[in-house]
Amino acid sequence: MKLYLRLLAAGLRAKLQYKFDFLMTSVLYGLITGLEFLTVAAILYRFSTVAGWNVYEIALLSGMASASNGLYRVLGSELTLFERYLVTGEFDNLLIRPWPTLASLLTRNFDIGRVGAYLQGSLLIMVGLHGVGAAPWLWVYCLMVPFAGALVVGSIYLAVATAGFWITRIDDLQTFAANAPLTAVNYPQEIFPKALRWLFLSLLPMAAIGYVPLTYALGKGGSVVGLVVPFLAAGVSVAVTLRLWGWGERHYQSTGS
Amino acid sequence: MLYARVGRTGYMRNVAYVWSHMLNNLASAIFGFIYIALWQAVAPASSTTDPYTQSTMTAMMVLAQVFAWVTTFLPAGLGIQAGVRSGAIALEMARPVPFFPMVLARESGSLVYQFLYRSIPLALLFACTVGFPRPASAVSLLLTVPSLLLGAYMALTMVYTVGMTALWTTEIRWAHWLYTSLVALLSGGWIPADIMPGWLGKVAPYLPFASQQFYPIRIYLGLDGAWALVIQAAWALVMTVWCYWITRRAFRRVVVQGG
Repeated sequence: MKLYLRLLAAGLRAKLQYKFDFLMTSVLYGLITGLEFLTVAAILYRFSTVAGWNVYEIALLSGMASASNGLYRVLGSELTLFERYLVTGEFDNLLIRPWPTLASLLTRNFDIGRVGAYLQGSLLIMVGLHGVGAAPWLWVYCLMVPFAGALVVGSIYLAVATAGFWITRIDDLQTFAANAPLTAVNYPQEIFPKALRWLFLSLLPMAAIGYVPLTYALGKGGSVVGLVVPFLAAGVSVAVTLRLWGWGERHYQSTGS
Repeated sequence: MLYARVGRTGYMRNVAYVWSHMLNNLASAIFGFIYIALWQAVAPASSTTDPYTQSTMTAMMVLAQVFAWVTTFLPAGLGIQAGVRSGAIALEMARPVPFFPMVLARESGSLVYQFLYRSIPLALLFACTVGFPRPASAVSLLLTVPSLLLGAYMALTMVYTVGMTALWTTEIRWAHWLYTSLVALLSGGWIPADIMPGWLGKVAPYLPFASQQFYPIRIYLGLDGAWALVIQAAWALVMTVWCYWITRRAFRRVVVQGG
């Protein structure tokens, strides 16, 4: 962990050498992720609510997903590009280093510019909280959840990367396992068929980030246990996927030439 | 003949990954189901004034996912940026074949592949689950063919523009993301362009993005007629002139990065 933080700090220092690039990147990431919410907002402008959730409540759902994903991308963007490591055999280089491969991988590209997406998500959360007239405890809670959310998102990317030790090509699997749920959690889960709802609450637990706790916090049902769910999901997913990664790594056979 | 051969290489390049693409088709279907569920939740069950009822929106979402593999989903920058980085762009531009038509031919081959291995399997998948919509009439079906071709052409020219920005900026990440975000918002595939709020709803159907999804889908469903093809053709003409112009400008800018 100490080594990871040291490598992270070095990566951060390197990125901040290009201050203008950092600023532009952050602003553009924020604007582009903001454009995504515009699609949701346009639907709500016409229909007012989605399954009883108004624009502010949907902003909370969307903001939590966006902030969690943004935060994960700051720290784990290289994991998203893992297919390249497998196809070219570049992963072999990580195996011969004297520290865990995952630490090497994650510290290779500290994408600080993605902080713009996190900030945009956080802004959306704040707009949502203001709109629903949230109590102070909910402000603190909602701004903390993306940290657990980032771990859930990261775990799913890690699980997909692990699958790459056997199937090599994982970009398409990533679209299925990460991008689709990240789109779905912008909306209340009750609109989806049971099978999809189950998928987003169990195997790909993105709905645990926002939907489950907000259902209780906004008085739409559920129980107080829902507030613990994001943190529980983060802990379980990280523990399970780290074990899977270790297991997959032992089965890795170089694919490069 | 030459362009047909180049197109064939674009097709063959994709065939190697056919099973990976089949998996991606499942992901594409999931996106379709997500949007269908969303519109089922918000659209009116029936209406005499609103054309976008639940059944119409389900049909639109199915068609959006199926058509998108021909009119929207193209590789970032058509791979032009890779040539700029490696320096291969200099060789490609030096060939005795015009650059823009050659890129178009190569990527048209990819689009044929995507139609066969992406659109058709997806259409079958939807037919077995939520149902694949029938065209409004034989005329609608006939008009959908040129509309789809114009949609595909518009996508090619716009992504070509994104790719050509690499000659000025080397990196096209931003241009690509901006383009994909604008397409998601304004192409009318996942949210009809004319129901956008305020002035945007009035302008969006006449922007170039609407040619990619909005009109092919509406023509197929009989919500628009032949006049929609005029809008698509006008934008196709504008984009052709633009692409030739930007290519000429880019030729003067080539700086070989690799070596």
